[in-house]
Amino acid sequence: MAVASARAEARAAAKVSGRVAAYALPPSIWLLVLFGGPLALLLWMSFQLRSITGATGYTLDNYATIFTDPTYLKVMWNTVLICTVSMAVMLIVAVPIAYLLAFRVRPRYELLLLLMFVMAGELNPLIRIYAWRIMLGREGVVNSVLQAVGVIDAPIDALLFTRLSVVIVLATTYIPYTTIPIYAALKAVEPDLLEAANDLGSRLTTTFRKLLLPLAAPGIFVAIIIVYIPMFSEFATPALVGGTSGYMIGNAIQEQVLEAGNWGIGAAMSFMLLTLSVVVAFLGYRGAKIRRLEASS
Amino acid sequence: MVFLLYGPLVVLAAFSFNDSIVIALPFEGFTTRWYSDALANPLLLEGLRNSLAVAFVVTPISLLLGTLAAFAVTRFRYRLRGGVAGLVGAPLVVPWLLVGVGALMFFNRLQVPLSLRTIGVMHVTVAFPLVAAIVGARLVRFDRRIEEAALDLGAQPREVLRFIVLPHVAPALAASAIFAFSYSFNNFVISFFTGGFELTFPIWVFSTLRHAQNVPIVNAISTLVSIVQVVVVLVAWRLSVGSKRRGGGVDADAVAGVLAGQVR
Amino acid sequence: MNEPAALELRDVVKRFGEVTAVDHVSFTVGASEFFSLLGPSGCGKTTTLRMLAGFEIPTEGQVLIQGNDASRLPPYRRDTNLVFQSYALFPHMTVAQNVAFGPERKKLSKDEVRTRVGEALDAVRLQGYADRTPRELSGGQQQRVALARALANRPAVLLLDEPLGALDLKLREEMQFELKRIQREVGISFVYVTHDQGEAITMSDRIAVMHDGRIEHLGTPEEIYLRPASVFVAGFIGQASLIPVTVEAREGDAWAVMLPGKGRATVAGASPDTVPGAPGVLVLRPEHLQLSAEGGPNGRAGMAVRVLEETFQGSVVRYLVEGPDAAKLSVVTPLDRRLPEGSSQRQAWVSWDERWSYLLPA
Repeated sequence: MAVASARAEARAAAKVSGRVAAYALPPSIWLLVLFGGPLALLLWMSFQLRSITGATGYTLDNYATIFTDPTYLKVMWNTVLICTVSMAVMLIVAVPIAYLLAFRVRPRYELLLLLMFVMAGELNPLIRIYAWRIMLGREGVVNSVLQAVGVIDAPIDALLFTRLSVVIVLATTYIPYTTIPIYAALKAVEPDLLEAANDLGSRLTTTFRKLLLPLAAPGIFVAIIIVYIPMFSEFATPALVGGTSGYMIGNAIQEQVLEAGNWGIGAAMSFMLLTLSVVVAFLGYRGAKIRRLEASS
Repeated sequence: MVFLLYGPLVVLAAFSFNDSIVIALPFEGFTTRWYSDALANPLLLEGLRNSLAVAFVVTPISLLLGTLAAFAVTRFRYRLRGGVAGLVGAPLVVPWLLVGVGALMFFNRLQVPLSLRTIGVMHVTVAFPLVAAIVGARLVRFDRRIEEAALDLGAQPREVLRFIVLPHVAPALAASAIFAFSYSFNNFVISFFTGGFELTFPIWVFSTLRHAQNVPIVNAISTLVSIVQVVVVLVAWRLSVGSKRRGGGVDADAVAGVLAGQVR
Repeated sequence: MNEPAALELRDVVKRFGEVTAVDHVSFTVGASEFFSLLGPSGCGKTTTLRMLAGFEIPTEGQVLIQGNDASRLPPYRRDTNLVFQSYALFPHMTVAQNVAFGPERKKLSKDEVRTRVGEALDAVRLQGYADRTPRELSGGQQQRVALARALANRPAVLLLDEPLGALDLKLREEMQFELKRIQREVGISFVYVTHDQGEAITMSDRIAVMHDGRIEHLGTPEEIYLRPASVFVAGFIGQASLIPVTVEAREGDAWAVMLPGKGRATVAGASPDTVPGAPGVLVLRPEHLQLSAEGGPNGRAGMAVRVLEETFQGSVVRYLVEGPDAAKLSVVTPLDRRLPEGSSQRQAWVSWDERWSYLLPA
């Protein structure tokens, strides 16, 4: 009797694992081949000597080059600069906006605004970049308006094809994704806390510093994770509005791979970025997990 | 901030009607000739055609793979589950530039010629994890006892899937379809690296803008495309909110998943 | 001539790893019988029900439905239907579609399906609600839809898993009568799982009281109430006043016991396991005890007690009294026979009619 039941249970278990395989195998195999494959190849290629001369072989030169050659170092520094400034600007703007959205806006509008963020993300990125290019040019809207209002006398050239323009476009592109996590973190705060602080005599700035920022911290953390590193690999934006000074790693990779045929170097830079992304994502995942545990205890 | 997000687009749209080849103030006059020019431009049309064709093929495949993955990760318990979940989540974390570059080298190594097919295949690779995230978020909230009730009432397992589970995830599927389509249609970076000499709409825009300062027909077609995309998102929103009556609804997790995916 | 029982469990055991959830359980359910599985959480009643429904497979033993071995049949091949505690209605279907689901799976004709749906909705008195969705219904209405959905299949046995747990008191009492009425009208056997002993006693033809995976007492509500098989059953069903006694001797059909305080009493009924000379427990129900302020033997069994607490409960007064050897008893007295004012902390005398007492081994 017990044996018959054990056999029935075993048969059921086998049927289940057959079903699991049917569901899990196709996507897994697809990803292993078409996602793992390219990434593995990147790794391999980064150790290959590839150049126009056709020479091949294993080497560490690629990594040596990108970490020592001043041109590459300059590009990397440029990228770090641009991205960090963008991130900082976004955070400064996002925190107050997230606060307003979380506490000072009526529920009906909250949903509408969220919807607008989602929609902004659905728009073609190239269209967005182009739209800014129009705005920032010598004869662009920003300059025209500033001149008309009398703030400046002559058009500001520095608005386009500079690092500033890259920062502006990047910041306006990624601001929704920076704001949302902070907003989500603030939403989790009970409004009573703010009232209590008020009641106990705290002015707005103090409340902000001592209460809101620490509470928003996990959201800020998440925002940095999902936005900072992706910005490093931006390529279309600097290509279209960055000019020569707004040149970033993404452009360098593209140039080396598609134009100069230096696949080794291109791969090395790519893999370096990849490692950075994975490490940051992993840390972020851990950080989020720990915070969730903390929040529930 | 809404101004910041949409202002430039309004400006772009405004200029699409400007009767001047120079995109600058003041307005010269109202015209629709940029629109007719745009729609007659053969390269632009080819780009649009290709983007649409790829998107229409990529979307159903992504839906299928994504749904399979979502089922695999949420409905069963097995040792490798964490691995599968990590694998499916990975493309959401890796910047597309790197995937594109890697894919280029990968196809080259395998001596696969770059074409719309290689573009499509890579679009599926980065799109279906998003589908899996959205559908998975919906599946996780499914009460298994309803399935038990269906079994008890005489439904065989595949009937349970058909009559109970799939209707439940239908809103998530609809939303995913729209996002997968947008992903593919709007995708620039991956198409750029894996397409070889093929032209898609974003690639056309990029090439045009790289070599010329500002081109009015780009304004025209951009306005058109943006309007279509806005309408599509609104329709999707309506659909998912409408199904609230039948026990559906927009998940906060789905929205978060979408936003996370959009950052890539 | 002997029609097979609607349902039979033969020596069923269910183990989950090291844990034995159901330990050699056997019972039969007759046609048109309202049968309850009663017990505290974790006693194994839900696991047993799930084995009847087909969501668990017995580790040992057999489940027979109308004489056929159904132990390993999946739920969709059994002639049973389950009403879930959480109702588990299909949210994306209307009431009518929910109820029609089972008959449709049986590939009945459209007319037949419509008839069944109509009948089922009539039975639960929800005729006008066919086109509503579950979200638009109250808890009690959802409950009835779940029932109709199960009834539409005309199963041999209907299984119910604490179906009234989520309802408020008033509604629960109403539904208890409704369920009983429906069961009698439709004539199907019900197997009803609950932890609420009042509910079980009100509704059942027979009750199986479960504890730690075993059935401690299987019998009619009256048997279980007046002649419980064990101290656990006595304490679980209703309120019990338990007096530790020493069993002395058997006197014909009755037994003699020594009460705390050295008094003597006769007990009319006793468990077959009673052993003379051993300690025992006298089971009395609070409403069968009488208190009087002036104490003293009055021809009935009784003993001296001290009144500890008095609680007014509307139609009755409940007293907590303490006897010799610190035995605490609960006494329920109708208002017109309550003790005079100021009886707290005073001595009193509790007595009972020996026919309402029952003896168990300790």
